[in-house]
Amino acid sequence: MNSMSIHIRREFWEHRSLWIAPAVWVSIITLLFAWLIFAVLPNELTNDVNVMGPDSHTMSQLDEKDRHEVESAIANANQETHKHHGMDDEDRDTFISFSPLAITGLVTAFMCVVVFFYLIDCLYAERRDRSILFWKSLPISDAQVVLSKLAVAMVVVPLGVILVAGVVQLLIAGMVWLRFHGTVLGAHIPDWSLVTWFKSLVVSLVLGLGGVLWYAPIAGYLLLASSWARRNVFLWAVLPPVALIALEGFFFHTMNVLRFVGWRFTGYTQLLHLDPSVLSVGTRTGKDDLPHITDVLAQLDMSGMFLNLEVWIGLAATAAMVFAAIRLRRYRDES
Amino acid sequence: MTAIIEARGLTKHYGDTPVLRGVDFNVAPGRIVGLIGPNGAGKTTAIKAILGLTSFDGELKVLGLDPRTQRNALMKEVCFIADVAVLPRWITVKQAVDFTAGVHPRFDRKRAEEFLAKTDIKMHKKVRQLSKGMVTQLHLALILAIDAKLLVLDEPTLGLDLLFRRAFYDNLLNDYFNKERTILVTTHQVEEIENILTDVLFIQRGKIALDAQMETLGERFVQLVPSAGNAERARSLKPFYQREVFGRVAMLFDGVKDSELASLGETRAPSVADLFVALMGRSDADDKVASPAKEAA
Repeated sequence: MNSMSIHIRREFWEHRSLWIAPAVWVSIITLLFAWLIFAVLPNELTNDVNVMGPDSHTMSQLDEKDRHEVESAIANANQETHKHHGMDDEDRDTFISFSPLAITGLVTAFMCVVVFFYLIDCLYAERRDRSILFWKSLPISDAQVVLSKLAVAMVVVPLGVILVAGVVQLLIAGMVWLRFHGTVLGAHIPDWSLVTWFKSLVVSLVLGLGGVLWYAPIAGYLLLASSWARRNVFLWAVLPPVALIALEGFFFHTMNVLRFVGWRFTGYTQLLHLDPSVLSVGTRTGKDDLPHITDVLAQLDMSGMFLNLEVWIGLAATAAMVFAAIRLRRYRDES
Repeated sequence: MTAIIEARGLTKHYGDTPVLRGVDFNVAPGRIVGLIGPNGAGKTTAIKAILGLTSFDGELKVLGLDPRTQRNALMKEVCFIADVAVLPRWITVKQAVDFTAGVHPRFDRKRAEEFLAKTDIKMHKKVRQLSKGMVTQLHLALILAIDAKLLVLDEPTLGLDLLFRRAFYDNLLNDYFNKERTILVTTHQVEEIENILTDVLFIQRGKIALDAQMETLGERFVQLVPSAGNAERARSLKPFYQREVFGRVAMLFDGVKDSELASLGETRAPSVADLFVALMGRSDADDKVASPAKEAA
């Protein structure tokens, strides 16, 4: 029956870039990691630890002087290996502390571009090919149609990103385990942990929810542009803010619009009371169960989102723009 | 019996240009009504008003609902085919069936699949891979499977060859139409549908030029080809249209009895196409040709 799911399926039938593009992108990410892990990293780093020296039983049979000599030789050998291949401690720590959030970030950044093009096209395409008359021959309200498109951009895709990123994290963790388990480097890599993985999903969900709330006005604006434009929808989406910025600069020599737009794009992590540095990659070291995640979880404060007036003004603006898009679709004569 | 469509003073302007100028008409249930007029006469605008696709002034009730404010409820009872180009080219046949089944409470999926099974259309094909005739068949399959009270067709066979056009209307009559259903159709190919129509509405320059039931046309309109020497007597009876063919004059009369004219030459009932040419060719479309037939509608 008239359920939202069939409308959402319809969006994925029509806008195949919504699933083909991310499928290609995560394949590239996964293959790049596989190539990095299996082909680029030097073999010496992945030698079995036993190759680098005798096992503990053998060591225990040595006298103290000999044991010191052997341990010292192993340490030197490890150091030489690292120097030889240009991978210093900092690089290694960067690698091993690569946060699962970075993978989510890579997928999210890519999908922001995909969703931008989806939103400007979704209400425009049906008028371009006149299929709007077919959709309007069915008992579907304009609100259902427009809201289903908003739901794809603001709910389905973000959830999909988190899910897909979670799977990619698992794949990469599996590859890392296969390659480094029981090796010299493996001894420095934190063991994969279900708890850490789950924590990263929770962080992604919370950050995703914050992002959806904060960026909703941009989605509403793009939907409105898609509903409004009779042609050149990309220009209709991009030119008005650019023109406003330029006109303000030219006539008033101020940059309020630029600041406003810039804040809408960049300001949301501050509203979560989150120090942006904890999201950066490779700033932590050591085998301490990916401390980023714990730090992020500890810092996350959604009340910052919900108590912020700008968020609510943004949501009200979103509602107004989505309402305008619905009215435009309903009442514009498609002759 | 309650009318399916009731229009009173239906008016629409595009800028300063009037497209519909106070149109009045009724469509009764169980009828097949041809809305016929030249390009720019206001046919499509009237249909868009009926479907709630455009704003208008005046009163219009479709199935007792106002298309401006109750469109969503209305579309559960009404189907329409705007023309063959509107099925999205990216959709597959199966997706089109799935979607319609998903959103339309009166869609009978089995019926659509049975209809499609009789054609060469494959379920996995995209619309862009189908011929124009096949796209129409697909659209028709979707429409025929919907248990709607009113079907609106706006030039549904535009661009199709004769075989597809004939098959389209045959399917419509055999698989869709019954006494509880009403069809409103616009077309340029008047001669192809006049045999299936029960009513005609001629529209010209935004006004109804003729509103009549098909069975009354023969009683009301007579075509006379007067025999030699009778032309002047025939003209004195005030034909509303005359034309010369191969040296003989054919005259059309409105409201003059066949028995009165039979002594003057050959008489016959004019076809809808003859009437269309006669009525649409006149400059005074505001003539009250429509009025005597109102009671028949």
